[in-house]
Amino acid sequence: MGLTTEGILFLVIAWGCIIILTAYCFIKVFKSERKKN
Amino acid sequence: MANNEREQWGTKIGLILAVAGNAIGLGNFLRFPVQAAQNGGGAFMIPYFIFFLILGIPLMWIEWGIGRNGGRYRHGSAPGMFDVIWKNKMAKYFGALGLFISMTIMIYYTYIESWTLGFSIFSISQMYFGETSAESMRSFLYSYQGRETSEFFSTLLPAYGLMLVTFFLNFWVLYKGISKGIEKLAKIAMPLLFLFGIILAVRIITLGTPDPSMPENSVWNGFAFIWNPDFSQLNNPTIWLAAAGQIFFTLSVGMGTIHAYASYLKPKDDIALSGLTTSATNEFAEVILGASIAIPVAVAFFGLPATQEFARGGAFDLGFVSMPLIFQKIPLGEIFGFLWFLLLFFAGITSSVAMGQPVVAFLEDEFGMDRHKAVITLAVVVLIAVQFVIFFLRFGFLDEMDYWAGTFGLVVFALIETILFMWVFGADKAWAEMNEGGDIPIPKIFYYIMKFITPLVLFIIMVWWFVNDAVPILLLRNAAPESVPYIWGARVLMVLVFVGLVYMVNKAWRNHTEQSLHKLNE
Repeated sequence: MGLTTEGILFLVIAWGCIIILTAYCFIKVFKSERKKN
Repeated sequence: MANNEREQWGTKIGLILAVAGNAIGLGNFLRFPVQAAQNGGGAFMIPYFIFFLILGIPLMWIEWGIGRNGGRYRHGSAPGMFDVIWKNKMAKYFGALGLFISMTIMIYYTYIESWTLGFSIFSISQMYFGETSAESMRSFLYSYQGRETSEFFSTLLPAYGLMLVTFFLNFWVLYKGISKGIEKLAKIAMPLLFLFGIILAVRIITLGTPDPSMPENSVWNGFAFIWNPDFSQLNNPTIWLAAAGQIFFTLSVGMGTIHAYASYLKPKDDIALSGLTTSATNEFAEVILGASIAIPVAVAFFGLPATQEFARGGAFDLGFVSMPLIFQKIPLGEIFGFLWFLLLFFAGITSSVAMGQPVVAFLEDEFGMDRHKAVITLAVVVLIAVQFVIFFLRFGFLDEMDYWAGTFGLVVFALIETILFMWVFGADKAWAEMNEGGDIPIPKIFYYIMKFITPLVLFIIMVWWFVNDAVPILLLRNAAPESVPYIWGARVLMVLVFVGLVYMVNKAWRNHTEQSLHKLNE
């Protein structure tokens, strides 16, 4: 069977979106915490 | 009120980890990969992400908004929160559903959680090592649960003892309070959960093809099983409903727990960024870690047909039968097994303490109990009720509670809260509440999504589940004859819990009225 090109594409896009969103959120959270302190 | 000051979260990151801990549960690691694999693989991610945007994130913000608004009026549970947003004497009774759902789920969830603690001990002590077939491993699990007797466990004593340990840990955390208990737990358990998840995912990805003579059985074919898209399935409405259901379950919305946590925020604290961060953290645990562990490793060791069989057997088969078999085949398997089940335990306990908080907050805020008394009161009720779950497990007692409280009840409650907040309280006021003190602005499109699309999607899911699942379950169409009295027993227990909570809500509000009159007379 193996991972098809579409499969790799879906995996990369899904992981990429989630990693970017999570990183963005946590950077914002830490920045706002630092500002308040 | 017993205390003049309500408790507060120590730090923002502590709150985010606590709410993420509430959302991240066993389903992230066991339910999601099965759902994805069975519903179109990579194509499943299309409806999954669409519903994440139109259902998951909006509901998160709605619940954070309702919760923080309720906290402003010293209400930490749904009855008081609904009473604030809807000036109608029925509002608080709708809120009682939020208490019922969280408490009922807590009753059986702590027991399931105790299995993960038990299996982490069985892994490190290699207790099940030597059981190399699915049948014998299943027999090990079932005899531990008391579903059958075998040479592994002749009594329920080990399961009962570990349930008591889990029960004690849960209530000890609740007893310690918001900042010193729940937040502290989240700050320890969540980083460990992610660390264990990453260690396991890396170990599994580097397994490659464990048996070179069977090249089809590889980790990459496991990833292919989950991620290769089958676009033809997108025409099937079942796939879309499965994706909506998964988003709904994974974020732990519709149970009153997020409201309770958010009620301990200050009125100007951010909820827009916190709600989004919580959702993103949950997705990281689910899509990246959850999809990289159980299914890929099962395909690598057992091949695709056997993995499909495990997946059809459900989440417990995958987690408690397939995984222990695999741990026996890899070097240091006892340690990886220990990490896997401890990861599930951390995922479980951070969720179950959240389920206890709404009732504790209700007793504190509406009856003026101090926290310790409120926690002990809840502990006594849960301990009595869990006995039925333990001893009648094999008769479907737990499944019945899980369906009505943990599945159908959630969507009903989520629909009620969305309508109350976005339509009765008013979309403009709700929007202002959610954006108040926000560290990020919520994009305006979500105003329309929350007002129109989210309730519509919830209504469709509710009707679909009612017709397809609720009616057959209610009419006992697939129930074994010997289980019928126990299923009715579960229903009676749930009705008693709900009626008891409604009575308490009524009593609390009568007390409030009497206190107000007394103050006026003074």
